[in-house]
Parts: sequence; C-alpha cells; structure tokens
Amino acid sequence: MSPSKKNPLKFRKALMLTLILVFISPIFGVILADMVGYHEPLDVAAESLNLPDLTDVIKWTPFLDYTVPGLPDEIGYIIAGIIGISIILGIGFIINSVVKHR
Amino acid sequence: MSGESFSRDHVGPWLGFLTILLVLLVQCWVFHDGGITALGANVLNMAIIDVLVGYLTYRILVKAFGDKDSVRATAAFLGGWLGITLAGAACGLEIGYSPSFPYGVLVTLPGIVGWHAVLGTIKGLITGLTIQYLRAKSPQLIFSEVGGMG
Repeated sequence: MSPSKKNPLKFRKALMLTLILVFISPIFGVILADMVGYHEPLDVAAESLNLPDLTDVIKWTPFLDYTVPGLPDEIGYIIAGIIGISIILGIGFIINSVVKHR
Repeated sequence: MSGESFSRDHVGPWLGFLTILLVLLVQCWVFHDGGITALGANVLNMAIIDVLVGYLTYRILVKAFGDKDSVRATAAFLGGWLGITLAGAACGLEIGYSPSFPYGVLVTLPGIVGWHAVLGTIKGLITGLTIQYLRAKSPQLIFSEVGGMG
C-alpha cells in the first residue's frame, strides 16, 4: 500500500510543501543564479573548448532550460516546475495503477 | 541535488532508481537539460551509482552500528556524501575517457571528484536531517522502517 493510501493528510501536506518549494524555486534557480553568474561547470568547460552545442541545432521542446516562451524567467521557472512535477506524478500514478492491476 | 538520497531512503533503491530515471527523462526530454547524448551517462551516474552506493552505505552502517537515531542520521549523511562523490568519480572517468574531451582522467577525475566531495557535505547534511525528521514525524514513509534488513 502506498504512503498516500495510508495517510492522505500527510500526502496533501507533501503536495503543499512541494508547491511551496516550486513557488520559491526561482529565488535560487533564477534570481540568485543570475546574481552570482552561475553556469553549469560542464557547459563552461565545453564552451571554453569550443565543443559544439547541440542545443543550437536540435530543439525539441519549447521549455528550454525551464523557461516558457513569452513569460519572464521567474514565472516560466514556476510553470516549468509545475509541468515537470505533474508529468512525474502522472507517470507514477499510471505505473502504480498498472502494477496494482497485475 | 538530494533527490537521489531522498528517493532511495524514502522508497528503497529500486523505486529510487525509477524515480530518478523519471526525473532525468523529464529534465532531458521536456526541458532540454542534461542533453540527450548524455542521458545514458546521467542515468548511470545519478539513478544507479548514486542511489545504490548511498543506499548500501546507509544499510551497512545501520546494520553494523545498530538502529539508533544518531547512527541513522550519520549513515544517511555518509550515504548522501559518498553517493554523490562516487557518482562524480564515474562522471570524471566517462568524460576523461571520452574522445570528445581533450583532457584525460588525470585532469577530469580530481576536478570533478573534488567539487562533488565538497558539494556532497551539503547533500549529506540535507539527507541526514530529512531522514531524522521523517523518522520522527512519519517513519512509515522511510523504506527501511517498513521492510528489509532494518
């Protein structure tokens, strides 16, 4: 039995906590990262070695690097978080229901 | 950063692997983060090595030193630290042996392992505190509390 079935109240609390974390995430992922000029170390290494960046050639998603086209980065980051969590939870629920029906 | 440690202690190593795999797939496919050509290496490092190393460290230490709060918190800290450090070591080896990268393992390994060992202390701290909190508030949510070697 999953923890959520055992105690739905705690599951709701976990979801609330997750949403709070999503809403404050731009503070760290966008605002503070911009302030300190953070870039992924391996991206910096690849750039300084002039290795080709496939992101410029192959683009398969509108949500590149947790942004949403037409929206400020901070808002896009929050929406990207909600999209990501929804997909992961959705797949989790699907897998859970498939396993339970076996 | 602590997702690997949290998920393996929360749901166990196998579902921990599945959780991190899903996260990496979403990061790569939906947000173009991590790169599709690096997906296999990321899965190996973060979903397999980090999860398994951290989990085994945690279980071995708890089994060796007894089921006490202080032991579990310390074991979670060390598991979180060692997991990310060895995942970093694996990444250093992969990049060092890659023909696309001009520097060998003598450059990549110490560089990546050093930083991950430092970052690992923060991850270990978060893992230890999270496990201690869950043990106090919701022990049923921790995998090792409901099954396995304990």
